[in-house]
Amino acid sequence: MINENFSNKKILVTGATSGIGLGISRMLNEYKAQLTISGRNQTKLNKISNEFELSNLNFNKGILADVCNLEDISNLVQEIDTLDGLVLNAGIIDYTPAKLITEKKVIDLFYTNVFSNFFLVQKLLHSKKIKKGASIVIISSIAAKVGVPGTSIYAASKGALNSYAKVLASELSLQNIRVNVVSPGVVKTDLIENTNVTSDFQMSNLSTKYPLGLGEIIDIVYLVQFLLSENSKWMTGSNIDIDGGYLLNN
Amino acid sequence: MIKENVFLDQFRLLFDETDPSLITLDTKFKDLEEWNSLIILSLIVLCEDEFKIIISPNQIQNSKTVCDLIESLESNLK
Ligand SMILES: NC(=O)c1ccc[n+]([C@@H]2O[C@H](COP(=O)([O-])OP(=O)(O)OC[C@H]3O[C@@H](n4cnc5c(N)ncnc54)[C@H](OP(=O)(O)O)[C@@H]3O)[C@@H](O)[C@H]2O)c1
Repeated sequence: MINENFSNKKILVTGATSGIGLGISRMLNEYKAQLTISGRNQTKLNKISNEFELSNLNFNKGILADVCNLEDISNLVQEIDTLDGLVLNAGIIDYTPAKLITEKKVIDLFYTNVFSNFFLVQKLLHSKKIKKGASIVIISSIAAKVGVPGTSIYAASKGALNSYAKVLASELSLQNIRVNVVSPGVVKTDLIENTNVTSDFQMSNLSTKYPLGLGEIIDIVYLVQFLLSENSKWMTGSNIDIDGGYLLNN
Repeated sequence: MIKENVFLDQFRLLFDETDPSLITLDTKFKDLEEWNSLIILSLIVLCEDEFKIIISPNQIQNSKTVCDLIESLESNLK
């Protein structure tokens, strides 16, 4: 039986202003979690926070934080209470063949997708803001496990995140804090639709590689819900592919 | 304005197996043996990073020669 009582749980979701992060936050808000969301776009963050406040008395707040800015991360940590759940979701993508990679792209991708999480978790742990028994969910990607041309920096950043998660799970198991990774295949969000290479043709081409079709945000949300709940209390250090069967053929 | 020769030099660099002298402004680039999806992606990135122009895969698809491509790119500047 899924235990969906999140009302007594303090949970932080990063990158909650769009796509998968917004979907996860909506679900948690419906289940009346004591939710804190963060994003870097004030307008979007205010709009979503207002919407959440109206439907959930337990909603905590939206905190503006560019995860590439250490000061913002420190403020974020200062402003939140001790967490029962943390979803590290903020991320960006890039399609650049290895031959054309630039220093700026590498730094942007790695800072957003990897380093920001190192620093956020470090500060949370240091200030004892992750409860014993808490669940940390990290959103990675199946990109780290295959060789899609043009994704080298993105895939490498997610690969780094996967390794980080394993070690973190091991270190935090002593405090009964669980760390699990979700590795989605392609889900239609702004991340995919706003890239330089997306066209209707490529989208339809892409969907042929997915036996069950492209993913929907809700598909990822259900898995994250399970990992945040106590129903997954015996899981840590796992990395779960959720990809409509993409990896069956690739 | 895109300088044709500058673009051509950069465009040639996207190819590894093709003799650069075979690539001119009049070359029907999609007929080149080496033309492939990674070069399409490289071309999109080149336009964005070096020329600050966003070009769609469809625009590339609709251009025949390198000259057409430059024209198509310039139309995005307007
Ligand atoms: N969509 C997919 O197919 C797919 C597949 C596998 C993995 N993923 C992963 O899933 C996660 C969410 O992706 P998505 O598809 O939901 O993308 P999305 O719709 O673009 O959302 C990304 C979120 O991250 C935030 N963000 C980006 N950079 C940030 C920064 N520097 N500081 C703070 N927030 C920042 C964005 O804020 P703004 O709204 O301000 O931009 C947005 O809220 C990412 O880690 C991505 O790698 C996605």
